[in-house]
Amino acid sequence: MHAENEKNSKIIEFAALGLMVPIITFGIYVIAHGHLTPGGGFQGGAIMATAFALLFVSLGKKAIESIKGEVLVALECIALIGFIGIAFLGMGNTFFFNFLANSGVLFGEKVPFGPNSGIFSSAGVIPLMNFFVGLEVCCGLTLIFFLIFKGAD
Amino acid sequence: MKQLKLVFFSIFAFFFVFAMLMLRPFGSPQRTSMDHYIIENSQKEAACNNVVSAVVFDYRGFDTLGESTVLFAAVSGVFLLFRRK
Amino acid sequence: MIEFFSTNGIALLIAVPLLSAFLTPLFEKINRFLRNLYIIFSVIVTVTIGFFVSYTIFVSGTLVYTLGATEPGLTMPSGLRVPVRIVLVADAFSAFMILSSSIIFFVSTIYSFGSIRKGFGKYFSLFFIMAASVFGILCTGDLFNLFVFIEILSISSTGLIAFRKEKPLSLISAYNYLIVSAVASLMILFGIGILYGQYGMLNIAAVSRAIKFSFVDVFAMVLLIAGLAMKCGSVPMHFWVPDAYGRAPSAVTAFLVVSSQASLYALFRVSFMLFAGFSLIQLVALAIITFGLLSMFIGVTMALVQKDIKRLMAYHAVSQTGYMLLGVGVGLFSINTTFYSHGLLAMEGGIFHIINHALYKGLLFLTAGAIIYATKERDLNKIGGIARKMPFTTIFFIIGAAAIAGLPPTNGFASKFLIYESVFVFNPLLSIIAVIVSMLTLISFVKIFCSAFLGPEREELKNIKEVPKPMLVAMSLLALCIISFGLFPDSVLKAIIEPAAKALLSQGAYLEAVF
Repeated sequence: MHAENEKNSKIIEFAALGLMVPIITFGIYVIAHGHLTPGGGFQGGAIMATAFALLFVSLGKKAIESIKGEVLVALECIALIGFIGIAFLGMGNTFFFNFLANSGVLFGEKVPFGPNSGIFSSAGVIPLMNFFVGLEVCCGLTLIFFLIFKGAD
Repeated sequence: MKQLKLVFFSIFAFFFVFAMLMLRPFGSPQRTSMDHYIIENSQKEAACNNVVSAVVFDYRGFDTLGESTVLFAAVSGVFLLFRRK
Repeated sequence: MIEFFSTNGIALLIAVPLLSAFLTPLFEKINRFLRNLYIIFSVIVTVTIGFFVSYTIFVSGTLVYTLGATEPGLTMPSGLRVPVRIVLVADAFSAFMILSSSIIFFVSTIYSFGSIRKGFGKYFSLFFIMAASVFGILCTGDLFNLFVFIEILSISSTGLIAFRKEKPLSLISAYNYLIVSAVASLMILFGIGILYGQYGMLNIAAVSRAIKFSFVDVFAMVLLIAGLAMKCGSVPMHFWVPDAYGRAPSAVTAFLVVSSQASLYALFRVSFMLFAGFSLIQLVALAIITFGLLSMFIGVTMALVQKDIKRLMAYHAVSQTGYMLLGVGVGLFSINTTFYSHGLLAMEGGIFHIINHALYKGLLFLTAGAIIYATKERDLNKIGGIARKMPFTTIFFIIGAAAIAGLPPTNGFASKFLIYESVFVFNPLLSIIAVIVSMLTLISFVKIFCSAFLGPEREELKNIKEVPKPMLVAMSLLALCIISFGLFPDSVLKAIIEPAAKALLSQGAYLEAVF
């Protein structure tokens, strides 16, 4: 972290802000293709959290003051409510039933047996669960970085 | 007292090494009925090419809910510790 | 409607507290009164589901639920002989422990409304997660699921123990508890990993049908039993108990007792189901009996010299856990021998002691919390003569102390008498030790009563008042349960305890239900 009387270097700020965009895009790619390529919710969420860690380390106090902890907590809770809500929606049969697979509605195309080039709109409930878990992990890890950098009042 | 701790630890280490030497060699599991079933039927039932994702979110989705709750509880605990007086 | 709740009840019992835990911080942003209303609503819903599930299991047998299949009862997919998905199994022993946990959950929530003043929303979020994890351990039939719920329990309890962070001793106790829980979880995970590598299946019923007791399996059993005994707070791994129970807020301590009993449930489930056909089961039973005896004796002798109220009661909790281990250990010993009827009686005594301990230890911790709330003192040397200003708390303390010492119209007498009677046939010396420990317990509680409640009033304590109404209502509910269990022990035994003990002893019935 910088001392109080040292100006923040413009190059570091510019580079950090510029690097955030590819990192977050890559994280969203890993989360969205979790049912086709290796990766998924937890891994993509961790990648997105490193972008925010880069932001905190390079920008210092400006970043800490412009993010509010309450928004992150609310986003995390909404993500988890979405995850457990999807599990509840299959309650017609049982608790975690994959009601969208093989059904043709949202993510429900059938997948032929054996190796194939992947079909994006397959796998039912799994891409939705990936999205919610990714959002939850990103917000959770960012909140931990934020609290530790801010310190106790 | 230190001698007693060393004696107990060496007895435990001896049994540990002996048990580990009697494990099956790596890569040749004994009964594979559950794993075989999952690999054969993951594309038919869960319609997912990535069998690992199917196991994590479909066959054993409840454990994933548990792990997300662990992360939420840890973040909540840190938030409680860092609150204002 | 009733049909829906009786088939899906076990899954809802775990899912509803989790949903409430995630919704509570959102309600806090909107309005405080709405948050309080929502917390009361979801606690009542959870406890109602708990009682209903218990009643259904006692009336119509074991409940089985497969998560993610097309129907709840379809444990094995077509053409296969082992379960593939996660299966929740709840038999009569689980129903008994769900009953006990629901009562303590309800009472602790009422108490928290009176004693917690700041940070209310996050506190209840973690408290709901703790309750969901306890119900999860009690209902699961899958080894890795058991491990995940033990992890959730450890992490959420750590957050709650460190709640009063202004005093640094709370933080050290929470850190201690976290390290011990991490080591115990590691040992449990290692045991589960060895069993999965040998047998390729994670379902408890499937592994217990296929297990062959080679040297590696026995090593895995030792690791599992040691790890679970570490989480229960039995000697020789009891050193986290006085710090953690003593420094947490009182409502949390009452629920921590229930969570240690959930680990005790897991220990009994593993030793009675997985390792029931083991030829050297009597050695395992002797080890459990030794843990029990050591806990009883060391707990009560360390309690005699303490000065801090809650630390003293925490050492008594260690000692009472010893009674449960002794009773069920004698039952495990006589599982295939001629002592069978006395073994069944000993197990009934041990199991009855579980619910009694939760009730009277919860009441004692809540009264200790009331004393600390009113006088702001924890040291017994500095409190005296508060019986005149706090009459209700005094009555509840007397009821709790009579229950823990085993005096007649309370439930402690019934369960301790069963344990003395049946252990005497097994070995008279153990019974004599149990009676001596009971007398020492009575001595230490008489000491607290005379020094804290009777005697002349002190200068500093002139202006104390009785504690707020929610705390009194909570304590009176528990006292009512204690007296009613004590007045009608026979009907309680026949209705609840005997099915539970029989369900634990019969491995065949458990396997029937899953396959």
